[in-house]
Amino acid sequence: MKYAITVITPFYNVDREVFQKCCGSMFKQTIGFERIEWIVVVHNSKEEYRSAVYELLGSYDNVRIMVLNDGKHTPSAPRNYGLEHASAPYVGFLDSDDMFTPQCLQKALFHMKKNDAQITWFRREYELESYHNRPVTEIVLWDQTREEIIVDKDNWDDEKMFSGVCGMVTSRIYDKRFLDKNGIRFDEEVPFGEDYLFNLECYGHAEKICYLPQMIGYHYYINSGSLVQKSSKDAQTLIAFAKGYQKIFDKGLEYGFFMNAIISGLCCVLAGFMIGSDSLTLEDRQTIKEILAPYLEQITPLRVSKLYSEKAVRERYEFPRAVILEPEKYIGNIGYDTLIAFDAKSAQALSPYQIVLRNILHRNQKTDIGARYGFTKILTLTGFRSNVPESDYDIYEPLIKLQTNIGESGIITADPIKSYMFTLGKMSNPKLIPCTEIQLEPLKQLLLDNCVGKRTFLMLESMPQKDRFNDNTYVNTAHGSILSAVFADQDLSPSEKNHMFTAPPEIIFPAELTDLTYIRLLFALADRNVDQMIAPNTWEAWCTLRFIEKNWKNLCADIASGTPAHFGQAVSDEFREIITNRLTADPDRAAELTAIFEEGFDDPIIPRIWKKMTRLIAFGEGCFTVYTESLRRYLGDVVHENGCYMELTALVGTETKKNGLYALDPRNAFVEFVPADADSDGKTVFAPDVEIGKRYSLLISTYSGLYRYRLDDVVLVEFMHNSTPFFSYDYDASQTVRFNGASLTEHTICSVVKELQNETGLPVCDFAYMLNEQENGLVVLLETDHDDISNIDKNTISDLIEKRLKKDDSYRRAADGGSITPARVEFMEQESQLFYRDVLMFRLNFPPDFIKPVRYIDNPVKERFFKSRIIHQEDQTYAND
Amino acid sequence: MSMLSVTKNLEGTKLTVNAVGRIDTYTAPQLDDEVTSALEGVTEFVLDFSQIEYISSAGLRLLVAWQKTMTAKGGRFSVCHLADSIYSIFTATGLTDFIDIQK
Repeated sequence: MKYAITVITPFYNVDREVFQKCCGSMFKQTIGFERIEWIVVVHNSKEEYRSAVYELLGSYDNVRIMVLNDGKHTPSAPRNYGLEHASAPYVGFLDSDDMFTPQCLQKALFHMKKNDAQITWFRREYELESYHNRPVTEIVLWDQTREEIIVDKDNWDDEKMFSGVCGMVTSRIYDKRFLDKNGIRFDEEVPFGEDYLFNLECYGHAEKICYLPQMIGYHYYINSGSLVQKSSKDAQTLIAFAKGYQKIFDKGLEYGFFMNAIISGLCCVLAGFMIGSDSLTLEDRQTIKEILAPYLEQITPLRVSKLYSEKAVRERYEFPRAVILEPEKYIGNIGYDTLIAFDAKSAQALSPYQIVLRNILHRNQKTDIGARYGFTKILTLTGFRSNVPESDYDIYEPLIKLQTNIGESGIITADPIKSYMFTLGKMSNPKLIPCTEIQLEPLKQLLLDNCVGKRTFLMLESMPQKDRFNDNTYVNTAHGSILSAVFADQDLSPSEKNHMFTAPPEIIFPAELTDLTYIRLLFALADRNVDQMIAPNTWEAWCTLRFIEKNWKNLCADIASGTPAHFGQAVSDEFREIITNRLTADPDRAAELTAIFEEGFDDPIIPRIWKKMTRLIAFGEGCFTVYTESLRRYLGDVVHENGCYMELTALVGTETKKNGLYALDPRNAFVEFVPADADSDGKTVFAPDVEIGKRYSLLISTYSGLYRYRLDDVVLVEFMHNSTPFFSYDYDASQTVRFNGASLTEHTICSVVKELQNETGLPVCDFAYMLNEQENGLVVLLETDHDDISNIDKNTISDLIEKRLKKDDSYRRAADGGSITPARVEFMEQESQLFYRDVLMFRLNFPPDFIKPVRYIDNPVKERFFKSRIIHQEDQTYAND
Repeated sequence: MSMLSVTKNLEGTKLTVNAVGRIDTYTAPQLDDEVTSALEGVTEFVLDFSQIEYISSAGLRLLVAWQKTMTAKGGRFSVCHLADSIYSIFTATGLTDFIDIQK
């Protein structure tokens, strides 16, 4: 025989550069390239690709280039064509975008001949074009400490032989005479899985098979253009797949082989194609069910092994049954991307977006909620959407009461609850949101990333852990809980913890609940090395910086003396002593600060106080926007960053450098998007499916037990990158005012106020809005930096506001139609919003972190309060009912 | 510019403060300073409104702060001689729920 082995390569439109690598691997074969008969079957390929083959290989005597144009779309026909023309006693298969390792053919043939085997098998390694195209596992159950394992009918091991990736012909070489004698060829009517059928036929006839567990012979390249990996398939194709499967399964069962893994594996692949198909109708799905049901119904779950985890076993059993046997469940293209319950070892890698939901459901599957909504049975994102209803706090309130009042657990989250985050609802009704350690972990990490190595003026504290609930938890702010997690971090040294913040731990974790603004400032102002400030929001930052402006004399006096003499809050003697002991007299710094403050506040004060200051991190979107603008006066060129966008301890987005947009951050919450535009159908969409330029409200699902929890926040998607939405915070939907056809969001009214400021120079430092007495017109309440409005022409301001509101389509239509009256402006006393906050804080005994400024005055209590704050120009008296 | 004059009368541990004029953004810090420095050892603090012409949000914030301070000390804070117009402010803003009003 002239040649030692024939290698058959079906070639279909492969880039020259890629095929060159394939050729290179053949040239490097240690058996000697000239001893190989290489048959390259150019199959249905375009001219430019075909000519490249001739250019590269046309001059070699041992290479036979054959052209086959038959319009078929599987490699079976070119492989059969090659088999018909192969002259060597052994044959192997090499795909045109892959490579053999240099010793592959020599070693494989050596063992083949030595053992007189009909088939020799070796290992494959892979190379990825992209991270997301991870292949099915190449892990095996064979004893890998052995170089060679011989299998014959007396040593048959079904499970090892027919588990994992057992269908590939490219990891084997075959005795050509054995194939010819038994008439074994590729079935050209089987469009997918044809390799499996070929190998099952071989195994059915073979006397001896040689396994080489240690030998990596094949280098497999995964690109997005490969025939095998294309994921979008039409109905006709998928039905053809199912019919092809029928032949494969029948053949294996005919020989009495262990078929569980092959049936479940191939059906999983088909199920994945099915849920990603745009054209599969219910009738088509039922056809597929009829074909495959007899096989799926007879298989049993696989054994748990290193090949298949417990989860993979369950999913390989349940997923194809769910999709194929219940065709009415999966209508329409829900995309393979939506899958969440498929083991990463056995399928394409899941994205972080899918993984977070999978982990949330897996972690909480045994909770009461998990059991009720069948978390263990949820396999896809759409399955989650179908099985778990949207929720709001009304659902959770009784459950949380059971936890806090009785000490119940495991109702909504399997993890121990560390604390409850207190928040206020629309009617100022209190809500308790559970926090667990895993929920807080990425938030803790974010704070550490921002603070380690820096010196931070922190404008917040934890709440005192005083009153315990019956489930051994406390109330805290979200930031307080995150701080607690940071200080509990074992990897952080005590000196790192002490250095991070200007205030000592006794102030960050005070034993008493009181306003510590003054004390925070004593420590921060005394420290020349502060290089950043962190506040919960820009309102708090602005209040703190204004406090400096109003109280610098007392602050400097106390810095000089090292005592909190002017600290006016009522605290215990013990706490006052702790504070005093931590302060250090610094008359030099006090004198330095006094000189700075005596120069006035016209120039930005922050860079003058702290020369190393680089940034302020404080959420400043939505209702806080007006304060973000006011901060400019103090900050100058010091950068303001919003930091992360967090809601109810769900990390929704992380601020990016792309125009300050937030990138969806799936570390501790699964976020769904509900179209917010008036003409939408309100059906939730998943992150990869949102549209640029559209607005969405959000549903969050978290580790600590909120599932599809409705938020009022509305975001605007502005950019997509790798299926990740980048968005800006737009407005709080609960602050939208609707009247007689007009619908105005908080964002719209805030923009109008901002434009008014820019155009008139009116020093607006806060605002709110409500409907007039007849509820047919808007009243905008402005708070300026002085209460003397005698020189302000309210009518002019009202006209300007009306003009800008008419840029909103709904408002303009309603105004033009005469169903609403023109907007009017009123001025309210300075510090009215702060007064409202003070009253709420007094009633609830909570720190200011919880309280947002009032924008839409939407209930009688708020209305009475704010109406009483309106200044009358005529006599600067009170506007009472 | 607003004007405010403050007189303080201490009888034992009871402090009565008479403010004359307007309590607004300009005069509130002055009143705050005067009261804070006088609260040491006081168990009862009364603010007399008989000569207060006007009190703005900035001034009302002080009342909330003093209520908090006196409660924390185990003492008592109250206001007296409110004009009807100011009393209506107290009801509209909810201060009547937690500030003691003497007739």
